[in-house]
Amino acid sequence: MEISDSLSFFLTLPLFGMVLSLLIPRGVQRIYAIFASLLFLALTVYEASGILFAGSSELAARLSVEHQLLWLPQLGSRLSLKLDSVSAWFVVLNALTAVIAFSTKGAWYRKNPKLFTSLGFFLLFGLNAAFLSLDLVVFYLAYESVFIPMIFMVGVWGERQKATAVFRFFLMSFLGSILMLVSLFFLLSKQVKSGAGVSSHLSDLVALSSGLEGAEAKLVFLGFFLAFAIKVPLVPFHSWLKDVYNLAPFPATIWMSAILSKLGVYGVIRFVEPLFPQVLGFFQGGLLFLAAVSVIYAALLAYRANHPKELLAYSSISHLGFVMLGVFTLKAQGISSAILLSVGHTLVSALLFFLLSKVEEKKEGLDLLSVHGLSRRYPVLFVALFVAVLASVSLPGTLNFAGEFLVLLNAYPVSAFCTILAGFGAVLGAAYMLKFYQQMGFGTPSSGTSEQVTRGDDLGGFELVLVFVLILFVFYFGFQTSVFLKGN
Amino acid sequence: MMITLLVLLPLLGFFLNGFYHFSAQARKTEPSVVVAGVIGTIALFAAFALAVVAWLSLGKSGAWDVGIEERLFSWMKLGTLHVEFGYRLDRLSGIFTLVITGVGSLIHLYSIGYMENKGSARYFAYLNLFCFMMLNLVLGSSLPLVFLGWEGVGLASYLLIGFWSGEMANIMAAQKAFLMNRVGDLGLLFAMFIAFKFAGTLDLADLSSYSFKPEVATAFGLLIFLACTGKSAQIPLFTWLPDAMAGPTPVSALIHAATMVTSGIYLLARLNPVMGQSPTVLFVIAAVGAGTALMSAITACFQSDIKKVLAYSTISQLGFMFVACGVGSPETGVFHVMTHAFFKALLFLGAGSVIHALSGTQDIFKMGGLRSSLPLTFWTFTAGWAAILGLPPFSGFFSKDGILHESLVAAHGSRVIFAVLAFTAFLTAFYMTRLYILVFFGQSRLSEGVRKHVHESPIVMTLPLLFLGLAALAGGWFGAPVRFESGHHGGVGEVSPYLIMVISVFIAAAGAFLGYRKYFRSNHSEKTRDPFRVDEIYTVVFGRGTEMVASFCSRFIEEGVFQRILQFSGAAVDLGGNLFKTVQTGSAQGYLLMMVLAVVALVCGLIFGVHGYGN
Repeated sequence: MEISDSLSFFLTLPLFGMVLSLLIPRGVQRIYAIFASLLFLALTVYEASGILFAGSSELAARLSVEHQLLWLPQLGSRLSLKLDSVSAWFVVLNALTAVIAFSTKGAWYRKNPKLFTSLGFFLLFGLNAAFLSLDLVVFYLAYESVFIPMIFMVGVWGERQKATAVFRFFLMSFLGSILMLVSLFFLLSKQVKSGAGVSSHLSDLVALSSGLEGAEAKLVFLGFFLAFAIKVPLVPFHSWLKDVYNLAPFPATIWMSAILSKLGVYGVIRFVEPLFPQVLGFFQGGLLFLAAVSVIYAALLAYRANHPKELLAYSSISHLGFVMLGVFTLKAQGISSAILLSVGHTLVSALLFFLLSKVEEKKEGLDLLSVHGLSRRYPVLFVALFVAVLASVSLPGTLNFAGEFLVLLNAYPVSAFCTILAGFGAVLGAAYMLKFYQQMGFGTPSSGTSEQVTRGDDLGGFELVLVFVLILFVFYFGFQTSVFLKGN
Repeated sequence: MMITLLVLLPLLGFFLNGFYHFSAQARKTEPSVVVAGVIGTIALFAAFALAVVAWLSLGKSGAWDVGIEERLFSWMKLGTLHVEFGYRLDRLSGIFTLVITGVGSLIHLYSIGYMENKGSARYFAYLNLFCFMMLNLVLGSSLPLVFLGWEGVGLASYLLIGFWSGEMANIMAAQKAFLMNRVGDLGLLFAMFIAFKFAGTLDLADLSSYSFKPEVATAFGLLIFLACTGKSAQIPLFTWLPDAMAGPTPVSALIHAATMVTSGIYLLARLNPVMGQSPTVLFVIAAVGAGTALMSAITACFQSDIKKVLAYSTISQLGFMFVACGVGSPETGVFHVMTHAFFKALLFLGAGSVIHALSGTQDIFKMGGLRSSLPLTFWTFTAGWAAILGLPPFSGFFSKDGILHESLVAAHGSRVIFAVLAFTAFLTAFYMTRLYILVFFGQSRLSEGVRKHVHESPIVMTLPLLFLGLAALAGGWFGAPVRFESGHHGGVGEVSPYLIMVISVFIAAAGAFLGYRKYFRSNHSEKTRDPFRVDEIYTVVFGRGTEMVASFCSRFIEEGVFQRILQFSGAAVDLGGNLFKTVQTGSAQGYLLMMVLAVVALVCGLIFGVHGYGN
């Protein structure tokens, strides 16, 4: 089995990074991980830049690359990778998320750092495989493989009650995966029955699924859809998320909210839309409603949350509701807007969790009711946090505003009701994000929690540069939206 | 690129002062208020100079649609949507630009005397940020850009209301302003969706000339109006403005009196052709405006905090402007925006000068007799008082009279609206005289500690007072610079403007006399009251309401249903828990081995499973 094309480095380099991390001494694991992931990000952007910054969709399509390699002949499965204007964004986001996650500091660099970095690189590998693969069996394997490092991260470096959290996460995700697997097998068995050659390539399966009818098509669709809905997650498939986000170590939280959630978004855009256009159209009203309910319901839960991490977790679901609203418009414009918002969401949620991890460094045992008045002691950190909060409430000028605005604008003609319902999320979003910021930033420490509890310096050095660059992106692309919207 | 430069200058000031703030912080020193203030003031004054040049270049034609347009780049282009990032200065936006930069530079100058060194760079940075956003609001050539300014001024307002962040009450006031405005902002957001769906454009010029179907025009108009009630503190979204007085007084003068709160009038005037397509919308605007004017004038009579009186007075005056827009005469409303900016900024800065002299006292029943110790403040405040009462020849006389007249004779005017406004004018004269007398006349009621330190403010503070006093005196003589045409008569038919003038001066005199009689020799003090208790009702209904809905979701639905479903199999959880407990005690290599094994097992399972099935 020989891999010799230009796309394979997306998979081989992370694996190489994983092996290398086992050889690097413990003490320099963080530096190694940051440098290696930065290098990988640079290579990824370089490789994808032609497509990302192409002036038109025609040019971008011409620059798209697809490589095929026969792999599992029994399944007709090929290692078929495609880099186009959809996958290119997710691949870049994946590399970027790794940089941010590796840049956090904490127990994971003290206890078993080698395991942590190698898990991180494995995650990078698995996600890239999922984002690039056009073959559903390969996609499924990659999709599954991503759980493994996540489960280990929560299990090894997570907080209290971790076993339960890990198990819930596993249970829900596994349920979704099984359903997808059943659907996939069903499609493959159809192929076998029809006597045609077995192939799990998307284009072959599209030809097949268009022949499905009635309840059969709907059931197969549901298998795929539920898997992705759990992954995003959409309400009511979100219940695993609270404990996992709460108890997971910060890098795992960053990975989950910034990029693993996008696996669900990507799955719907890349596979469900072409495979089941009619069924999607049939369920569209309900799906839009689910997305809008996710926005509102999660926002209300965020408003009630007492723990900042939990608050951000629900806020993440709420914003992903907007993304899915765009996807379920089932129009090219809506989907482009959703991809744009996905990029914004990745940047901002990663930034927020990263900054929150810095706050927790200053004061352990974060609790909105007990942490007060930190903005005076850490002004730079809190200015950065405030800007991130503004981006999260999609203040005009940020990428997130452009995304939410375009999503809602394109959803409005499809369903005015769901658009308006989701729109109220904007007010609730401002309410809980201000609460989040103000409680930690201002006020006087309540009795018992004295000043000495905080420790460490203000944001500076590499971390400051990283945060600054991310914020710059959020605003720069907030105005230069044409990069995402070409040709629609 | 003149307009662009004009807009960017305050942004430059924001960055310079921001940089100054952080560099001072890094050196562990306080920034100098003079340096920070000079940076901020110059940035805005230069913008004012450019605005004057731009205004003059519009020519003398006075035509409404002449404008300078500058396109910068394409902001959002998707499908048939194309949002250009560009600015347009015409008569309407020109007046607002002149007021923002002109009154703005005076208030920046004043702040140099008012603020201390501590935090001054941050303060001026925010103030410049506000001006930048406000200029985007009035100069933006499309609704999304207006929205950027719209939310941007909300942000600046949030930062400045909560400027003294040591007090949690200030932060909460800031939060209240931001959230109430967000509710209004939804109106603008939804209005954009409607506009794009039906008119296919978000460009202001295109939109103004588009004729909607009647019911669409009504929906669009009401949503725009909702946005305006938020920003301009009208019923139902007005309760944030009195609380916003928690900010430094120059901020109250600039943002919460002269500029930001008038953006609702700007938007209504800008979209007047669309608003006019629906009589329902116009009626709602006029009715809400008149109701707000009356209600807050009544409330102002019961306030004892000098800034709160002025805040309710601002809400009331904004109601006058809304009436002008609602009866179909937005140009009169815009004229009042201008004169109101002069005299209300003057009154606020005067109040600031008083507060400054009295070491922070804001209760008017603890003042008195300040006429002799603060002569400059007193005389300029007198000009502001006369202007808001509408005494000739002060500026308020012309603009308020204009509105009173239009409320009767304009296309959608009526006797009821006129009567409400006339009564409000009477109340205005009463509560302003009450304030004026209690502060400057009669016996001094100052406490001993305060009395020793009473002093007239420094020149940087009194100079802006003088300029604004002059403007409040003479600002009305230029007439309404934006009168489009005066041929639209409907309402109750022809009424002589001179008759209205006589009535209005009589009303003002009566109100002032009553205020004089009641308070000139009075020594008793009154407690602040809110006769309508709207704020308390809102706190219960919306504050608690949201809490309750959120609690319901979190307790009953989330914990009661979703989390329970997840826990349905306690045995399964235990099993899983034990499984992972044993897993957690290995070495790194052990984990990796397991990971690889898991993948291999999965792949093998797949291959053989399907292989078997295939056969």
